[in-house]
Amino acid sequence: MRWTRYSAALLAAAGVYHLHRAWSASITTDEAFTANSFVAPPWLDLLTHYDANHHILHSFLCKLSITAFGWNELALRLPSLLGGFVLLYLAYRLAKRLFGDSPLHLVLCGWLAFHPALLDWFSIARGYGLALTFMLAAVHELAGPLPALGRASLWLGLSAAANLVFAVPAAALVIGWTAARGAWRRLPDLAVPGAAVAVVITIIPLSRAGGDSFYYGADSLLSSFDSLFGLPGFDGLSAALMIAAPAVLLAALWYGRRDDTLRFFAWSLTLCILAVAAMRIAGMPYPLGRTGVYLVTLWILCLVQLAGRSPVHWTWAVALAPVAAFLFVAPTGYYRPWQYDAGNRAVMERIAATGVASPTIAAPGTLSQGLEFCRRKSGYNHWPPVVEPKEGVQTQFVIVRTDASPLRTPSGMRPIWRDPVSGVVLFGR
Amino acid sequence: MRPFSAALYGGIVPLIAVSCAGFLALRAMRIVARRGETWPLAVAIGSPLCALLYAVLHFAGAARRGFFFATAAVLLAAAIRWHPKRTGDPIPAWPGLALAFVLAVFGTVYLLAAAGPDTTPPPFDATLAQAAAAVRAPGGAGPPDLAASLLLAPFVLGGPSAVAVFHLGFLFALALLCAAAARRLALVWMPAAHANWSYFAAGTLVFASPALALAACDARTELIGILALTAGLFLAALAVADRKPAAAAASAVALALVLPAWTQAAAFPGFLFLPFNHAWAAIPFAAIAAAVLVARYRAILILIAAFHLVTSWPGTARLLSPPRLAVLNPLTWQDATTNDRDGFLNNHLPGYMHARFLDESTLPNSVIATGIDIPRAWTSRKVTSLRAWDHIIRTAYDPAHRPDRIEIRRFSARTGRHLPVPLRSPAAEIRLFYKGVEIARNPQWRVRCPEAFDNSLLTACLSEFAEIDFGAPVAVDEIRIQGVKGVSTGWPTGMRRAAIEELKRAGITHLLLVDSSGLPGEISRNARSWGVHETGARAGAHLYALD
Repeated sequence: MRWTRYSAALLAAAGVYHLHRAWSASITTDEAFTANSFVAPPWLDLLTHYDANHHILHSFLCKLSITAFGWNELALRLPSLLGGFVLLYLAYRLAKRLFGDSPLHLVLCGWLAFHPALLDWFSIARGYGLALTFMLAAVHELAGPLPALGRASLWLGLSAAANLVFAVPAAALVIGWTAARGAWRRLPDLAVPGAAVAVVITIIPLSRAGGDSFYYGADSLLSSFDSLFGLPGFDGLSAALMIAAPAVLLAALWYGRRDDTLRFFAWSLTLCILAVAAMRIAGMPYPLGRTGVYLVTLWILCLVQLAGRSPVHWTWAVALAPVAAFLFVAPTGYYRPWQYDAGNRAVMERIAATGVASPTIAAPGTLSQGLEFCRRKSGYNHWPPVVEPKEGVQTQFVIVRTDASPLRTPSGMRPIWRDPVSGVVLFGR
Repeated sequence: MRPFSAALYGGIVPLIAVSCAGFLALRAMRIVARRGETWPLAVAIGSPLCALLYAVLHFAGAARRGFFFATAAVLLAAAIRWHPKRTGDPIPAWPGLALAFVLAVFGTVYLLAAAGPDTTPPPFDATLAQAAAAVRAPGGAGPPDLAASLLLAPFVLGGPSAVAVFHLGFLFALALLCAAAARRLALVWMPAAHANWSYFAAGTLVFASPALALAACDARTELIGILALTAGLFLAALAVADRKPAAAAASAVALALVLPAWTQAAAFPGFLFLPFNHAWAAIPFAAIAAAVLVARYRAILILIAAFHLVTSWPGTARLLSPPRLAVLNPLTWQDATTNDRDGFLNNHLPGYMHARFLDESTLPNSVIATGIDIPRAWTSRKVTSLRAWDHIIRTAYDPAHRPDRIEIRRFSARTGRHLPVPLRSPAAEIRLFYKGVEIARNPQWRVRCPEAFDNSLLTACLSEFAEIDFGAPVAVDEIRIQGVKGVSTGWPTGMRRAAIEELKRAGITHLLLVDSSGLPGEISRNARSWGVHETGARAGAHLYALD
């Protein structure tokens, strides 16, 4: 039981890492938008409003958590964090089911737990991690010799309910599994319960969705691909992975002819890609980063399962090598897409420390949601709302981002403090 | 309470007649339906037969209470004597009881809404208005169509609310037909223990659908059409599967009333059927498909049914449904059984007060032009839309709309049979000249855009092109177009009266105008110029008689 122990240790470390981030990282814009728009309002508003940010089941769970534990980052992130823990456990179970106590166990666990495209979503308060957890639970069921289809279907339904993007892999996994096993008669068993559950949970808010509700994504295939397989700081490895990605799929389709499980993974991934292409033709954007995490997960499953079929016994070592790189690029203290948000909490503390009773604050729109969350969390409800910096609008404090453009000092103000992680500068009069 | 009970028996008695006619037809055609299918099929087949019967009674001048009661009694006696045969297993106990419970709970709410004061809004009251006109003036109005003929009996027996109760009966029939169809379909693929629950699911999904309920509780005809479509296709499927020509004939009979199934109305159909908010006819088929799909998964079936019931309950639906979609307004017992229906309708049916006002203030053969949506079942006067005359009236008094300019086009003489006239703006009149002399208009001319050749400055050709076919070659070297372009010319006096003369030529005797249109002020100030006089005003609307 050597390799499974190594995996357990790796996964435990991942769990601690996620817990630490959920506890310590400042709120991000998207989380704060979720909290301010889809957690804070009454239940009726949650049911009767929709936006791409409203990951319905996840928002419901966040509301329960916030109601129970108060308005703070950890309470908001609790559903996602618990989902992340369960995902790590499921990764362990799935690896054991597929590879037993072999080096590939460690490879699969390492890739799933630390791949940069997945890493942020196991603790941040968005529905992606939770949906991924449910999806992996379904894969775990379906990859077994005697799958419980009803349970798998339920997980897939919950996955789509936690994040609508996951309706694509849910449908792909259902068709992929039935096609790979040639079990078309069992298609309703796998499709109907999950679809019903997903519909019941999501349909009321979705009834308010319009064509412009689904706006997040990439315009070009290359940027989509880069967001999914690129490794910041490892350009060579990124290029290798981006070249390897289609090759792995083609190889998985080829070798899947004699391997039910590999065929299931490969066909599901192919169906997902076809669905993405169809949606693009219908005018929707390509997956970008988080909206394509299911593609990365299915690709990892194909990769590691393919490695298991390799006649060369050290293939596992090649497959394990990138995990080391993943560990190197794992960020601490912030979430990668929202590094500019890492100073929200500290900025509000600094402003409070100035002793101004009711400070007026101007901040760019990308920071205002997070600052509003922090204001509420710290109990400064009597402070006026954060406003956008505009000509002619006089405020006592101005917060400026420095990551996107060179720093410009607002007229008549002086810098008070600069956050070392996010680079935002707080100006005061 | 009395109008409420009148609506109940006025709706139920014709429903009994329709059912009995259907039973007799099923028996005559030797169609053996399974248990649970017979009554809904009988309603679907009996409806066109009764509609035909009522149309005959109408033409014979016998569309009266006594005849309708007698018809129902005779049909009932005959159906008891010659009832159709049934086959198959009885309705399963628990699913049947569960569906009966749903029907009872929701049905009570629906029945109150249907038998209470009828608030069918225009334009959905067109068939009811047709039936009402046929009843009020048997020889005057044109022949009612098949759906309107079917409504004659309930309208005569209990008024508009009875029509609503009668219409609600079709929702019961539709729900039970869908339940039976789902069960029949499910039995093909799964054991009876599972298939039986599809009976409950399909019936529940259809009966609780708010869009169907909204239509069913009004004096409309959509449910008649949807039942006709569903039963027609059901019978057609039976005809194909069992190779029964009689079932094909029955299908054709049922489909005779299919037209009202197509509606332009948008209503909340329940969250599960949201894509069908404009296509209610698809709801029964979607419900059957959904019920068969979930029948094998008991927990999922209960979840779906519970979700549908909770979110379709009128109070919840009002809270959760998209605001652009209409939902049923339930009535309290007090409102439903109120004896002061007039007072209720004054407050809850837009245009009702005006409809009653017209009846009180005009002679029976009056024709009233108005921009108000009048519920025409509530007035015996002929009401026509003012929209077609709006341009003429505005041109008559509003300087901004006057075609008081002339555009002169001169060119070298052109002789030909056809003369095209391209237009850059609306043309009130087009006159042709040759060597400075106007070419007199000839009745033999064939013109495109006749509004420009009618000697009336109030009518205008709005097209981009007018054309004259002289019938023989005619020489023309000048065209004068009176419209909004060119040099200014005088505006003749008496145009207001001319506009009213146009209306009178169309048979209009009165104008009913709302304050918000701005017209009543102008017409009251210049009543003499217009040639009208005000005969009354009510609820923000003024009634003018044309002199």
